[in-house]
Amino acid sequence: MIAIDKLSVRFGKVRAVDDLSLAIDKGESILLAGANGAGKTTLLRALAGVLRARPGSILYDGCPADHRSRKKIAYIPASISLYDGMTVKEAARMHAHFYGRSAAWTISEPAFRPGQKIASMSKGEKTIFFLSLALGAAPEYLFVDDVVHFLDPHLREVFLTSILRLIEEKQLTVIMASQSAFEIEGIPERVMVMEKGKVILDENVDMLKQKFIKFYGESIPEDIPVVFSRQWQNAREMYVYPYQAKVHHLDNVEHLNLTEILRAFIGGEYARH
Amino acid sequence: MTVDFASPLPVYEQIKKNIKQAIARNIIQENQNLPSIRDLAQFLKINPNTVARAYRDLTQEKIINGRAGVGFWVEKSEQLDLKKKDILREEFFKFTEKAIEMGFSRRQIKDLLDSFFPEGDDK
Repeated sequence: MIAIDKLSVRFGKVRAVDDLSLAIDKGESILLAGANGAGKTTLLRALAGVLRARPGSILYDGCPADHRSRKKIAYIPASISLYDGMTVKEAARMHAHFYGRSAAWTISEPAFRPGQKIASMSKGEKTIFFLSLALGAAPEYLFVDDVVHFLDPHLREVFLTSILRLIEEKQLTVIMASQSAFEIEGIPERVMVMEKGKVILDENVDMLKQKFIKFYGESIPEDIPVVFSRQWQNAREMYVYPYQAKVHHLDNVEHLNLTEILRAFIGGEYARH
Repeated sequence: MTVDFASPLPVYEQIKKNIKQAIARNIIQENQNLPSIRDLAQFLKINPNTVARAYRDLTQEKIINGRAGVGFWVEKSEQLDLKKKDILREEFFKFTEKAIEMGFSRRQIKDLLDSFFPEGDDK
C-alpha cells in the first residue's frame, strides 16, 4: 500500500504538486489523467523516488522509501536519455547493478542485440526495452508516464500484455499517466484527474461511468452539476457529473467511454466549481 | 465476446451477461471449459481482476464452477435448466420494467409478446 500525505513539490514559485494526500491499495490499477503541466509526471517522479517529497511524505507499506523499497518500484519515464550513450548490454548491466539482480528478459519480442546502441532505438523501442528491464526486476509498483501513444499497434500489444500478466501473477500496483484512456480503457479500475498540482477527480471507473452523462438542452438547468458544456447547433451539449437518475430525472441521457469523459474534465470547468 | 466501454454496465457485469447468454443459447455447453482468466483478459485487453470478478460471481451463482489456476467450466445440466429459466426471468424483468416505465399497460405488454408468435400457436 502507498500512503501519500500532504505532498508538495515546488519548482521555484510553481507548485507542480500541491498538498496532495492519497492512499493506493496493493494491486490497484490507476489511470492518472490531466492536461500538460497538471503535475502527473512530477507526481510519478516523486512516487518513484526520483524527486524528494518535501514537504510531505510517501510511505510504501508503512515505510519511507529507502534503497530497499526502491527495488520494489519500477518507473518508465516518457523520455529516457540517461542511457543514450550505452549499448543494450551496458544498460542492462547498469540496471542489474542498481537492482542487485541480473535483468531477466521478460519480453522476448522485439529482440534487442547486446551491441545495439540505445540511442539508435525509436522512442517506442526504448520504452519496451526499459519496460522489459524494469519488469525483470519483479517490481511490486509500476509507474508509467504517458508512453502508450508513441507505441505502434504491435509494441502496444507487447506492452499491455506484459502489464496484464504481472497484474494477474504478482498483484502489481500500476499507475499509468495518460491524457486519454484510448486503447488502455479496460485496464484501470480507478481514475484520477489532476489540475494545477491537485487531484480534482478520484473515482472508481465503474462508478464514474454510471455517474457521468451527456445530454442536450437549451440552457443549463438549475441544480444539475454540469462539468462542461458547449453549443451544438441550436442546443447545448452538456456533460454532467455526478448525475443521479433518481434526483435529476433527465431524459435521453447518453453514457460515454472513459476517453470522452476525461476530455470533459481536462480543461473543463470542473475544477472551478 | 466484446465489451462496450461506453456502457454504464460495468465490464464484469457485461462478461457475466455474455456468458449467461452463451449458455442459454447453447453456444457454451455443460462441462465445457471457459477461457482462463489470463486468456480472456488478454483477448479483451482488460484487467484480469475484472475477469476474475465475473468468474467469481458466476461461481457463486452456481452457473460455472472452478477456481483460478485450475480453470472454470460450465455446471451440469439439471441445474442449468433451472438457471436458464432464471436467466430468462432476469431478461424479462428488465424488459417489463422498461415497458412499465414507458407507460405500457399489462395488456399491451402481453399483446406485444404474443405478436412475436405465429397466429393460432398457443403451445
